[in-house]
Amino acid sequence: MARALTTHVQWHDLAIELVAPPDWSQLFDELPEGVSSTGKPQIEIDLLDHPSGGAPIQIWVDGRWIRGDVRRAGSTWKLRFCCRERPPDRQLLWHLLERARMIDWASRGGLLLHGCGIENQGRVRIFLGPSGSGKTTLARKHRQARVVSDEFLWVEPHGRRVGPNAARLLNVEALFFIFQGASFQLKKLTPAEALAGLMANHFWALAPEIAVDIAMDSMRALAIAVPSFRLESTLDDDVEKLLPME
Amino acid sequence: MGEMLTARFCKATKVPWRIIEKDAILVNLNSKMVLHLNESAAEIWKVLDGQRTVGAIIDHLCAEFEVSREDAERDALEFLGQLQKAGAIERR
Repeated sequence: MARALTTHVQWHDLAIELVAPPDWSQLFDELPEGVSSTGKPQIEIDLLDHPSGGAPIQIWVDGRWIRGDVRRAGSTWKLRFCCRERPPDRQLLWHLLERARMIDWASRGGLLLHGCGIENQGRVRIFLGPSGSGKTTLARKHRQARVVSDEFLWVEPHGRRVGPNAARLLNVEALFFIFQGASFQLKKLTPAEALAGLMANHFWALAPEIAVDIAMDSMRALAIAVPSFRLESTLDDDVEKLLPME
Repeated sequence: MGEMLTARFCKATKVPWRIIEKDAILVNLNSKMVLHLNESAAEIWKVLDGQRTVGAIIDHLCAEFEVSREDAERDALEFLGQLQKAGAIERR
């Protein structure tokens, strides 16, 4: 039986141990190596053991689902993926490492929202809503601000900073839940309504079930701390004039 | 109707929830449906512990709110039906 390969990867602020079949050897030769300060990985990714028994997860890579599971073993998250039907390449590796990063983020109470963020002078406004609601269209029309993310938003645990990834976070000024309408209408929401909106726009499938409780606490804190609005727009509205960012 | 008043329900697993400003917000992680319960509905939700009967829950509502027994019973039964349909509660 061929020997398994093990390597340690420093991926952003995470120490990850990767266990893979021998056909990953060339990819491993090119990986940057490093270990956490304690010498123990925070996350283990196992591509050798068949997923079973943990909470199911999956990632979409190049038109195909890669299925796996996640479970907690002491202080370490263990991810197992079934990658046998797909040859190992950098794209696949990136997706595996990013999923590990999302799980670590979520396990500490970080949120992963489906939305678009615009930034002006260090302040961010978030547009949230389902695909096709007009988030990106409205965000890109706002000439006073730059788009920081148009699909995925990382929100810090129990806080009010948000960004396109965990490393670039800025203060949230307001949340806007977008709906298409016959005319421009803006209505202030209660914290309860904002919490409902956040729950509806969270990528629950990306977070392990064990982290749901802590995510709920973060959402509740954000809904209370940040003003939220229901925004109906025709998508032809002059967003810059109607929602000025000074 | 009488049989329903002696039934017991509990919150379903995979339905995390939080109380905020006396309302309750729930999400069914299977269907991704979000439910926003007002104060009186949230009060019913809070006491769905699998131990109290529906009748006892209605008694609790009458004690907490200024509402007639008839109205409380009608509203509670309708609400519990909606929660069952949404997969948010399970019968014990």
